Amino acid sequence: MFPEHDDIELVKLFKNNAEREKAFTIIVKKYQEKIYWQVRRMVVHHQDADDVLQNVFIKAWKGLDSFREDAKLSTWLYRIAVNESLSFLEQQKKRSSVSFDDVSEGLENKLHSEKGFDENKAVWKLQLAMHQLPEKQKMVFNLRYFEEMPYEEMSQILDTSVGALKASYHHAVKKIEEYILNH
Amino acid sequence: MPTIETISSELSALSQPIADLPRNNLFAVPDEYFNAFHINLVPRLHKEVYHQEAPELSPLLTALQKENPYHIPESYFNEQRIDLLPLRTDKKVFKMAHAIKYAAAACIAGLIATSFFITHQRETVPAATVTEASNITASMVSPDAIAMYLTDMDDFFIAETNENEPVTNNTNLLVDIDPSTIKEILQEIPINDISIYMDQNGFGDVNTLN
Repeated sequence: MFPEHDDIELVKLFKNNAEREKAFTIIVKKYQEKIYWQVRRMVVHHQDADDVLQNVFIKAWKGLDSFREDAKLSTWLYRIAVNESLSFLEQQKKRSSVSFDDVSEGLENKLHSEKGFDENKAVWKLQLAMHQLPEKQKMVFNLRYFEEMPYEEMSQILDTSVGALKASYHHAVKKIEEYILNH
Repeated sequence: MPTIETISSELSALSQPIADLPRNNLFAVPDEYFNAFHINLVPRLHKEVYHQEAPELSPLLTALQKENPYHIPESYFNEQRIDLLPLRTDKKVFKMAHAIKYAAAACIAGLIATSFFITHQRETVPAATVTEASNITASMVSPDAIAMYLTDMDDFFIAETNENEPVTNNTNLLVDIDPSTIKEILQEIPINDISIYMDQNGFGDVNTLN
């Protein structure tokens, strides 16, 4: 990726006005893919994921000046991505003025329209099962199962204790297993 | 710090079927999306962060220096050129709020006066109208015509009462007369008159009445 630039150096570079755009381009290129997949698994459609990802990096540009270097840049970006994804889903709920169950039904329909979708395949069943979960539980499962993120980092992103995250992940895995076995 | 092995073993302990699933990417992404993302981000950054369009929209305008071409006298803004204090005192200020109040009061008074006038007119007009109408009628119609009209109306009312219709049954008799009374009446009429009446109306022998 960009081994020659560590995050602290990139943030310092960004705070220098002359190097701002260059530093930001490096940050975007470094994290865009990871953040994209995190968002994409939450909102399903590419176009929605693209909108959310752009919002994430615009927020990052606006906030990087006040970013404290005691936190990890990736953790901070994930935190923005989580908030933006949840805001997007909340907006969708308000626009259609329906309950959250109907929103998960909408995400299910989006999954059905994805290229290569096969509801008989366990990997797609796992995606369907994930969208039955409450939003926060879905987020925990997403970060732990797909991103293999340590609970300590998740705790900073989601503002939740490690114990609560472990319990949440445990419940999420059990629900998904039950869904896959029964469908 | 937990390793990936720790995370995998945690998952295996929780659910072996899920741990066995391949974690390959299922979703499709347009070609070159990640190579072009940062380029597509620039116009939005310019619009939202700098509140202006991207430089490539008009390189000429972007290149122009944003200097003010207009000239003003030196120390213009430091000089107190207009004395505002006299404007604030002495002269009476005409307030629109007062004018609106007076106008509203005048309108209400006008409405009351108009309605009183109209009501008064309605009360006096009918009497005058009747008198005028009778005078006009008298001047236009002759006394003979009026007399003729009244006679016609009498005939009309007589016809309406059916008094001259022949009696075919007892339903239209106004009074009950017993046979002895009828005999007394007939005795007062000369027998010849009765015979003539009976002959004219086809009732036969006069003695049948007895």
